[in-house]
Amino acid sequence: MDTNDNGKTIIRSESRSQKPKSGITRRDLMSKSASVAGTFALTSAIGIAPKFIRPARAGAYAPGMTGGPTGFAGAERFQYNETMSEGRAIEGIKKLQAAGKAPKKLSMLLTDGAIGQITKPFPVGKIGGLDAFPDGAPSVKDVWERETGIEIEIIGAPAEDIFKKVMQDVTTGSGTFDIFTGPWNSTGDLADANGIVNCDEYVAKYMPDWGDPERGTPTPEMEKLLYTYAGSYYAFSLDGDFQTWFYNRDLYENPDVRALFEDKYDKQLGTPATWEDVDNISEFFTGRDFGAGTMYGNGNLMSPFWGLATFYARFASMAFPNNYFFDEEGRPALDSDLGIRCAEEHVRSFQWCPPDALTFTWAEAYNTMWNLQIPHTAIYTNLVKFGDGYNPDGTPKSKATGKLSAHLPVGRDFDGKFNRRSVLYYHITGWISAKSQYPEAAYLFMQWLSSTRTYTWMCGNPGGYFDPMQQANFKEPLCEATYHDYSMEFIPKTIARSVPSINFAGQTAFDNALDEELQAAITGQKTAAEAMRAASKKWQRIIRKRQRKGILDAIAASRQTWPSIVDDS
Amino acid sequence: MKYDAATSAPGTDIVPPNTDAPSFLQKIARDKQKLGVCFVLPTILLLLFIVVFPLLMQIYLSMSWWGPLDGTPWYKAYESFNFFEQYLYLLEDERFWGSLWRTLLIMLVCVPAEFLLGLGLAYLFIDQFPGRKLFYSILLVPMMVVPAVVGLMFFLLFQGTGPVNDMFGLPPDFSWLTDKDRAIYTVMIADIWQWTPLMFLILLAGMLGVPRDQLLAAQLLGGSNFQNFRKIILPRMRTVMIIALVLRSVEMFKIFDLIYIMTKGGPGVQTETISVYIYKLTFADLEWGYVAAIGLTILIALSVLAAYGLKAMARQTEEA
Amino acid sequence: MASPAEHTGSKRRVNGMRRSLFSTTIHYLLLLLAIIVVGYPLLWMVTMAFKPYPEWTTVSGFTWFPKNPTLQNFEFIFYGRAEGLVVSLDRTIIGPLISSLVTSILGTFIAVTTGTLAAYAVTRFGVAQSLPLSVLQLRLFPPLAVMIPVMVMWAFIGAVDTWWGLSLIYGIVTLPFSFWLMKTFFDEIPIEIEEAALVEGCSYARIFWRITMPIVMPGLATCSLFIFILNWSDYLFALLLTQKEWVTLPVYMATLTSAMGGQMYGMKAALGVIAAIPPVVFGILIQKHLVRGLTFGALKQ
Repeated sequence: MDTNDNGKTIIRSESRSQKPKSGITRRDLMSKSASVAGTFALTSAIGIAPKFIRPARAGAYAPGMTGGPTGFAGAERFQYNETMSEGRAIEGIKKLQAAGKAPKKLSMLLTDGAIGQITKPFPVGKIGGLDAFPDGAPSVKDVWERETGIEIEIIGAPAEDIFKKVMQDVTTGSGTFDIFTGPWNSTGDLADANGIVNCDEYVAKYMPDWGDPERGTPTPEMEKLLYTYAGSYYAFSLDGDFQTWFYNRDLYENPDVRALFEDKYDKQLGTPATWEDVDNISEFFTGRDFGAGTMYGNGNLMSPFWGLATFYARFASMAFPNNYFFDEEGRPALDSDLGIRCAEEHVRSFQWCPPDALTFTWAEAYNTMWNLQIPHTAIYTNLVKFGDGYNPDGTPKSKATGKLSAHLPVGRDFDGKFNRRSVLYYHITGWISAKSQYPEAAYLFMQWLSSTRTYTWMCGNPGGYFDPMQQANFKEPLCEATYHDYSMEFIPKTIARSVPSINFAGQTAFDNALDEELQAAITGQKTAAEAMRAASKKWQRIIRKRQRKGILDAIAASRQTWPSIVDDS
Repeated sequence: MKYDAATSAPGTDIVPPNTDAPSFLQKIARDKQKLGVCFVLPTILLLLFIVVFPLLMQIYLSMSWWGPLDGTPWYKAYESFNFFEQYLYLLEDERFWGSLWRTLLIMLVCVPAEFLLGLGLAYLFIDQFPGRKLFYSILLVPMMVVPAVVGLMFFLLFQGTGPVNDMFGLPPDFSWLTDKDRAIYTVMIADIWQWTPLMFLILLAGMLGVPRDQLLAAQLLGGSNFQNFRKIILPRMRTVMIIALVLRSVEMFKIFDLIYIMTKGGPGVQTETISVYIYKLTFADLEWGYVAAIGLTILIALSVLAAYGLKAMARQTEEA
Repeated sequence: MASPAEHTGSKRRVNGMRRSLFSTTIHYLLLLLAIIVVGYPLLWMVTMAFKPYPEWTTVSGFTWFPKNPTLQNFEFIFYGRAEGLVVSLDRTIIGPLISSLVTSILGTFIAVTTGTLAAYAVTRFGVAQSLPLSVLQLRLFPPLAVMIPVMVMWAFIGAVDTWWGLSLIYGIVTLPFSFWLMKTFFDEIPIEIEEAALVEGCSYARIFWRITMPIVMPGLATCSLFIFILNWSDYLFALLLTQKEWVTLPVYMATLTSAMGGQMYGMKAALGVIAAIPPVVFGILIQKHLVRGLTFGALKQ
């Protein structure tokens, strides 16, 4: 058994022989860990010697602070008082409670893989060289419940299907959940369906620090994009799904590999600047073996649902500075020459994918990187949180430990100007259910959870897949310890170059239509051109049907949020 | 049998025993019509409950563009009233006809396959042999496994790097579930695996129902096992066979769980059946008016078919 | 109602003399083939349930039988945590298991009771002659095509995410099976028996309860098993009509994913094994009626 398990990243099973001969039985352990934190399990206690001294006892806050986590080194960085966003939320709850307008319990529908981030204590054990303390650290949920007495009930649902679950609750109006979570893209759908609460009034009253120039989103525009829809606040950003490029640095620096590459392409192997470079690298590595088995060059997601992000990213940089999904009149640009060329490239790149890539979710894709089967991938940033680094027992998290690095998004070369583009896709987001009986209390919990202090503390936690995106996150040592310096450098740069995927009402229909056609093209049922024309036709039909609902304005508004940044190399 | 009024029919309360004047309930128990009405009442109530409102709502919605994204309650669908435009679109909706054709294709392949395999298996079980009960029990297990789990297992079995490819020595890039042609057959294999046992069970019962004396007589006359099977058993199993085929076809038409879990209708729409298409329209495209139109169309088509089928069956029974 | 074994007792002797070694071999070879085909996925499921995480996928080599067999998959879904696993569950299998059992049994009860009564009334009392067709239509129809009104209705009467709401829909959609199955059994019973009882002075209700029902009891048992399996297997209704309290096993299975490892195949397989137990136990209990019961009365002689 390990000294600690929070640093471990994949579900790992231990061989029984590794167990230290300790007198502590499993039963002891279970009761012990249960007493620490409800759901957090098992392996912690053993082996963590009492050599660490607890710096602060519960309730002992840093000077001037009135709330926040305690019990581990650095906890004061996440503490707050009533002048801060989190503190205002707690004060708000106390007023509601005094007025008898607060519930005993709030129900939250959450994607399965994120639950641990709220329910598991953090930090626990040694994280990336930083000493942390096993017994004192609370979970996010603990802190909230301790300070407000309002229980948070979390119900899990699979990431791909959670929107259906939300829609079901919205349309039956059963009000089972106070808080929904799901892909950021669905905000428009839910707002138009009157399923979620317009939080303008609450935002004005409680002033969250989402857009704080020092700690919040990198730009005010980004705050608008992530937290508002049609000019009003609806969404609570809980993720950082800006597809970021990671690569196997070891491999790129290997002289043999470099020599072979140069032989073939007559240029140096380096981090790619354009999609053409990307495709060259994918082609080069496919079928070769550099000591970790046969490689496949294209590690990007190509499967239904998840693979859309890959296509959108490629699409966005087809024209300078941006290739929009819709033209200025709101007509789909999928079947334009550039759109078709992009689809052709996308389909062509599938030949360099690992087998079964079309059934991959993010998890299987991560595995290919962790097993060194692929040289590079543009993917969710927790790839490195779960796969690069060391477990507390000193074993590497995966074969890729210490080998990974990140680079800028790729684009195209327009006479020496490069429009490097990534895409914001999925991005777990919370909303308050319109049927909630306690919308204000639910809002306050979400403000507390998504404000920069709590969120910074939470996103370093390897118990789930919420990723960093606020400026404060990137300055946080605990976050850096799990995400590494290269992520801290390149995620913000990627955010600055990210285009939004579709997020206005009708999004699920748009995405599904394109997705089916892309899959048809990848599996050879149609040519890329046929698929794009068919997808375009479907998009036009959706627009036509939703015209009276102002979809053209939404499209125009979405175009405004695209970045204009251009690089020289 | 002694007259005893103490019996209670289900659905009636217990009647006090041996009263001279028959009570209200006793009267009902003795009146064919009234008792009959009492007996069918729960079923009729359940039917009305599940039919009346949904039917009216579907008719209403099917004549509008309404969907949840409108942000209005469903009863305000009249705001986007469009008469029969949804139905007109249905006529030209390639995906609808494609999914219908795929559903029928799956039925056309799986039902006969399950039938023949079930028949063959049943034939092996006519005679007594050592281990018969054990074999019989194992063969029935697939239909006891939850279809969602079956879907998951076949998903894993047919991965490119999965056990099936490994066993047959196929390369990992020989894909099943993500191949445009093989995907639908892979789904069929899973369905056949799960439901052949039901066919087997029904057909075996049919075979064992053939009178023994006729079989014995045939065997004494010197026919081979197979000849006896063909000439004596098969002709007497006609009704059982029809029942088995109809039962599976009806259930197969609705196939959803297995496909949704194995392929979600993909790649593209290569394994999209009617139910999967409706599911996507309901929860992804959110076109509820159109779903209503499809639902009503299917309802009408199936009702006509069912009425004809029942009539034909009644005629057959009379002939037999 | 005899079991298959009894049926063939006399025939065996006749055939036993005729069967050659060759045909016996073929017979067993075919059976063996059938068992292999049936057993292949089952074995994969069962062994998967005992495999530790590294052996779930074939990335690091392919194994049929677990190299390091473990019970942690079962432990995990029952306790929400397991020794040696980082992840933990917020809900264990217990709730969904109870939910599945309660709703399937109640649904079966509703379907069998109402179906049996209605079938008897239709065959014997001649009432509601259009009922067979209406009931059949109910079953023919893909449930997804009416799910929207049903969801709206269930929400209106407050039945979403309740035990009775799910039981009710199960009862309704499987009603056609019990109705038709029981109808064929009643058709099969010679009417003379009941007429004789009538002459003796029995009431109709008593004839039904004391005479007819005992005769069709084996059929009723098969009918119940079959309907129970249908309800137990359901994914769709539970997916759309429950939210958290009454989620059933197949829906619960879909939530067994983790942030880092993706789908938890071992746990899902363990759940599959557990989910197969109730139908199998039920099946064994009524085994001797099973073959006879599913012929829809087509064996009138």
